Amino acid sequence: MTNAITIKNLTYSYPESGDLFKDFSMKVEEGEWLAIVGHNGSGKSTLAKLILGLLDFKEGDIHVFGTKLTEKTLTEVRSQIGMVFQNPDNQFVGATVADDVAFGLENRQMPSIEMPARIEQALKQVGMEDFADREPHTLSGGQKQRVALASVLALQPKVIILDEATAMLDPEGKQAVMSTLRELKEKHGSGLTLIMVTHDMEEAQEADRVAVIDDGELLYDEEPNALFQRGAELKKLGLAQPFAVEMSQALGVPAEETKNNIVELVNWLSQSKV
Amino acid sequence: MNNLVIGQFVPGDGFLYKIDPRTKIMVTIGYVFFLVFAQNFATYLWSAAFLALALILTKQGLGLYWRGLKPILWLILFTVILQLAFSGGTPILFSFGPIKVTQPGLINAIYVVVRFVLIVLMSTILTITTPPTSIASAIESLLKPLKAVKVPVAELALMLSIALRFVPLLMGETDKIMKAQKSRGMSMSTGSLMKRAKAVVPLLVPLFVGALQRAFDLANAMEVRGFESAEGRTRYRELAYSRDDLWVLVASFVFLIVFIILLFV
Amino acid sequence: MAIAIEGLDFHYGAGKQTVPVLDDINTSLNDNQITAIIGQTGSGKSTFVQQLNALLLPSNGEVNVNGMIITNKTKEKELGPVRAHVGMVFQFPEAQLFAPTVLEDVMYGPLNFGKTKEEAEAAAKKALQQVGLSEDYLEQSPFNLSGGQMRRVALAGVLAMDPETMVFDEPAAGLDPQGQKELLDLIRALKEAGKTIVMISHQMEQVLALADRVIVMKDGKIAADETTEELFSRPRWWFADQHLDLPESIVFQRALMVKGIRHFDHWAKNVAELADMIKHQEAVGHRLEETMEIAFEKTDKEEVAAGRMKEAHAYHRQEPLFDNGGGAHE
Repeated sequence: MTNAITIKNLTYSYPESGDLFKDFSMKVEEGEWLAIVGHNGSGKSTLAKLILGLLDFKEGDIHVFGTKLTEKTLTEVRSQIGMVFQNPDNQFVGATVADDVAFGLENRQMPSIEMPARIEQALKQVGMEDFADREPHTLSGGQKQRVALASVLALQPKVIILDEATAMLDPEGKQAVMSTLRELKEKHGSGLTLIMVTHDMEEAQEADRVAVIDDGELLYDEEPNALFQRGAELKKLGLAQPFAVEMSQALGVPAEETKNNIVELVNWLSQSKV
Repeated sequence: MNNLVIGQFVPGDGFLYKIDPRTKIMVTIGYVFFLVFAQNFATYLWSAAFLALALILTKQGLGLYWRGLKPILWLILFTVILQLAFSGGTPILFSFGPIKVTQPGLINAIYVVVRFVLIVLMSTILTITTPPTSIASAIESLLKPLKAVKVPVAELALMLSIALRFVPLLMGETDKIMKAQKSRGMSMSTGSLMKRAKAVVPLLVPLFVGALQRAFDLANAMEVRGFESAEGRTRYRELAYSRDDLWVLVASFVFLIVFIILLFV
Repeated sequence: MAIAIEGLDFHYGAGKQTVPVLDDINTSLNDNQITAIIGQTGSGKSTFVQQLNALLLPSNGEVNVNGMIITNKTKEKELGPVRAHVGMVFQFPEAQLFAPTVLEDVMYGPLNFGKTKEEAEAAAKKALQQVGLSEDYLEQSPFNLSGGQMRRVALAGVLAMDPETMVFDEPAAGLDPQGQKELLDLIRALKEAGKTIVMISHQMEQVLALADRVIVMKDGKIAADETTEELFSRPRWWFADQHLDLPESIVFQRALMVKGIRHFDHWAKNVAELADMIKHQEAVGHRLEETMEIAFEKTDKEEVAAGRMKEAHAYHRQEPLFDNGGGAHE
């Protein structure tokens, strides 16, 4: 497995307060779906911005597909990574959906004639192809985030980082974005690395691997099911367990048999005596 | 707030939607410019006829334009009253105390109203049929000669289009903050002028802070999507004149010739 | 009744261009209860709660706030007492902060409502304490705080007005689980202190855990107005029609009942309570159990028969809940 992103001995401090990351190291493998979780203020969003060179760090280095992130390689690195931000309104550059998707293509100096096809293809991938001429204020939050995703997809990145992209959405919007992500992952397979910064454990459950960050420290780095076993630790970190896991533990289901969804839990209860 | 039609694009498929935004901007500016010279009944009628043609070519209902005019009705009324009250001349039609309404005053007032309405409607036609981005790129294209004297035309055009894009958002934000502060007892309608000026602070500060936050976020979003400079980008919507633009120019030219003739009749 | 709403219509614009938003709303809010307002985005929830402190005036009908009648003829300057009686916490309220210090910002409301400087300061300090911010923050700029802290300052700004009724529009939006929990605890404490609470929420778990009563809005109308217990006894297709989720704990409880594994006399408010109920099944009362079962015969049983029983895990809606079909309920 190649590493999509390697972070080595990273040190970063906020301009005014002290160190956030100190000697921080982490790897993201090509093609995996990684969730970075932590409570608000844990540094998880800062990490995402560091990877894209939106913030400068003091020491250590970040490699993206083997290229070291520097002032000179910034453009190259950013051409490999797309990012969807939290606030749906603040990342909508274009006057219409199609114009917004076009924005990145215009920056890359794609010939005008090639754009419509690329835009349509990107919008299709997120199920927004019927909205190409709509203006942003006529869209729901979930639709705007899917457009943001399409704008990123149009640039054909190898890595997409979602920085709390569902935090401001209603449940329907959240589900639409999550199912879009699932479809994308299925379609692109190992050609697409997904990094999802979130504090929603139901979302983290979808990932292959979860990294828990607290005060700039990597506390846990494991599969979701293993992580969710840590009820008390998660609580201390201001995080929650998915319902089925929490319920399993409350009912005293043995750790190695923990159920990850309601169906399994019902079946388990039907066969056992609590 | 949704009633505001001026400055808004309304999707449609009328003839004028297909016209290059540069053509529309030039014709609109020309129309407004020459309207200032209109001074007799015939010229106003002719100008109104040209506008009517343009209205038909947008294929939008008249209700839309009526909504566009409504918010400025009071402004029109105000100018009418000024005209009526302060134009001199004879004969005097009727008078309230020191204020005398004269016949030239009345005619003047009617002309002012017509001119005002024509100007507003013509600019509304421009914005209704042209998306803000197209207006921005048209302005960029029209101002291109200024690049020679080091005016950052591309940057200005991009700033303009982004500013336009954030107008509805900031209006929504203003409404929300106003309501939040009203809920905390803000009242703008009472007290001395000083007090009222102070009452605006709880509104302006959050708006400013919010806009700043948006600006930072937007800058990040633009950067990660590869934005480096407004120069040298390609265009999704390339501007290109077509045969239809020629027709519009011909029609405008005919309008102008007849207009000038009517001025001297 | 603290607040009663009668024949309320609301629309934007006038004449042919009207956009109806609320249509014939009749309801009242019970004192010292938590009433949740739920419904799909665009169903009129936010517009509805803005009628409660007269930020929007009814187009028809009236709102009675503690004896003060609000109609479309009510003048803005008469509304002071209404706004003092009903505190409004908007979604993402941190966007309303403006003062140079936390203390001044929180004092803004009380001062506007005629409190003296000393009274306002005392109220502000008390409110900040209630939201869990220590005295160290009083002189800080609100703009230097973290997002969660800013949210608390904004909440304190409304709390300091000491309104009888408090309206929250999505108070927990964007907070992490810990922040959400603290906020819900605060709302619960406010109720215990005697306040009447109205809360818009998209999260059904929060509604279940907190609300005494629920008003469901759909297309500007009230689609349901009943106790939380009654609401969550409605059939699942009804929730699907409203574009609403059921809390996972209730999906779980229902599944256990449909499969005949357990019977319950009420919906558990949280995981601990539910685990307790499952472990001590015998402790269940009989009378209520019957009514619950009747509720289910009309609901999940029908759904099972119609093949509508769906796995409720939010992201895997397409798979059937039970592979052996339905009819397991004796």
